[in-house]
Amino acid sequence: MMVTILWNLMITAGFMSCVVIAAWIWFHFPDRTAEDVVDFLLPVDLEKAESLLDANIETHLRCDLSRKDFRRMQRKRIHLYVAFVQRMAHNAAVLIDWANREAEVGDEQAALLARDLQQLAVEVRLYSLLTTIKLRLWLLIRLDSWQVLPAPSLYELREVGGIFGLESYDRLKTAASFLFLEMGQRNFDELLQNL
Amino acid sequence: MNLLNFILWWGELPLQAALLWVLIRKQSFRTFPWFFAYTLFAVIAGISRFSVRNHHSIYSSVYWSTQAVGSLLGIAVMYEVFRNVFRNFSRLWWFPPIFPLAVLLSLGLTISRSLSVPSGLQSGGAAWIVGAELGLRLLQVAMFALLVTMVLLFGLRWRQQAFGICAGYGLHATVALFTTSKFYEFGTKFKFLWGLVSIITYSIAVLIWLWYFSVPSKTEPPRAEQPPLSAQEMGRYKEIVRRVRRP
Repeated sequence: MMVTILWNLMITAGFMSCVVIAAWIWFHFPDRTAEDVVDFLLPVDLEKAESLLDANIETHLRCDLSRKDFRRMQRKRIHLYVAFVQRMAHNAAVLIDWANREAEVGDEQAALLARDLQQLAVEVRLYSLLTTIKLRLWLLIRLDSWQVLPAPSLYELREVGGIFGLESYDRLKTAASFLFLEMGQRNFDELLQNL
Repeated sequence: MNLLNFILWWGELPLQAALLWVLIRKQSFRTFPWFFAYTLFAVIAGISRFSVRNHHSIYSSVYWSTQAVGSLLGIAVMYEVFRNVFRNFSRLWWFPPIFPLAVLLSLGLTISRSLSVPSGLQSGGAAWIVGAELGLRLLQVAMFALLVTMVLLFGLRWRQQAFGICAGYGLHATVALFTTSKFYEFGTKFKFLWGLVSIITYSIAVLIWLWYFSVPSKTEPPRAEQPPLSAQEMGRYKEIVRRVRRP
């Protein structure tokens, strides 16, 4: 019975994949160039994100606030980090799209930078995915309100799945800036502001 | 066999030969040696089958032996695709075991399925080959579903040749698994129809491969094991970026 269900699930997954990829190709943003990057990005305050993952700040909050207040505060901090991570994921997706194009049609130097950008953007996407799952799970089971367990620590999320999220994002920004310069774009400050 | 059936049954052979020609012309054997070997073998197997099609016993031996070798080559191609597509993840410790695990799971599921739904084949050799082929189809569907998920989650390039190889196999494997399941349910009632559907989808798969390998694409140079932008490079780049920002 179980085997038949799994077997049929695999066949369904195959058919679904065909439909999904056809829909994705049809609705996907066409050929993203350097001009189609800046306006699609969502700004991420990396300093604020860094402060959320700072173990010292969290320890201070733990000591200064009452247990109840700290748990309430931690829940808000989790929500804020979810928002940051989602923006990081969105920006990485936009940059992957652009890097994919440059890797295909750009000159040798641009293609080289684009491949670096792709690799870093994929790392950021993976980090964002794993971190979002973890954070959503914390929010779902309301781990912050369980009195018997210690409130979850955000600084644990500095490294998820072997990826240092904020460091990777910082490198992603640098890689994006370089490709942007290589493409001769003038609105360089806008790119850095929006990333 | 009338002309239409003849074209349908043997039409994939010239398509496969055209693919082989494209692979040689584009020197794709450098980037996808196992896929090239698979295509070369498929052409040789097709010609062999075609030449002995009127001798039933010889055809049967040729068919089963070429199916067995084709299945083994198919697994190698899947590994080649996996390595090619997921090289961005190779530095993560938990990623490399995914492929062997997928192979083991596919095999496990196929063996369990074969035990619960016997194929009806008397010959041990043929039953093993059919089992291996079903396992391979399952692996191909799993890889295709994984790749599509990667496209959606990580923006993987769907235009890259490795994705094309997997998409062709995925489409054919899905239909082949479906028709095999229906064959078990309905028996020989729709035998001809299932066979025809399978052949048509395989021809579509070859057309997908032809398209992917015909359009010009850049071959990616092999990457260094170290991550992109090392600490020194970062420092240097950031300094340049700072200088650029100053008016």
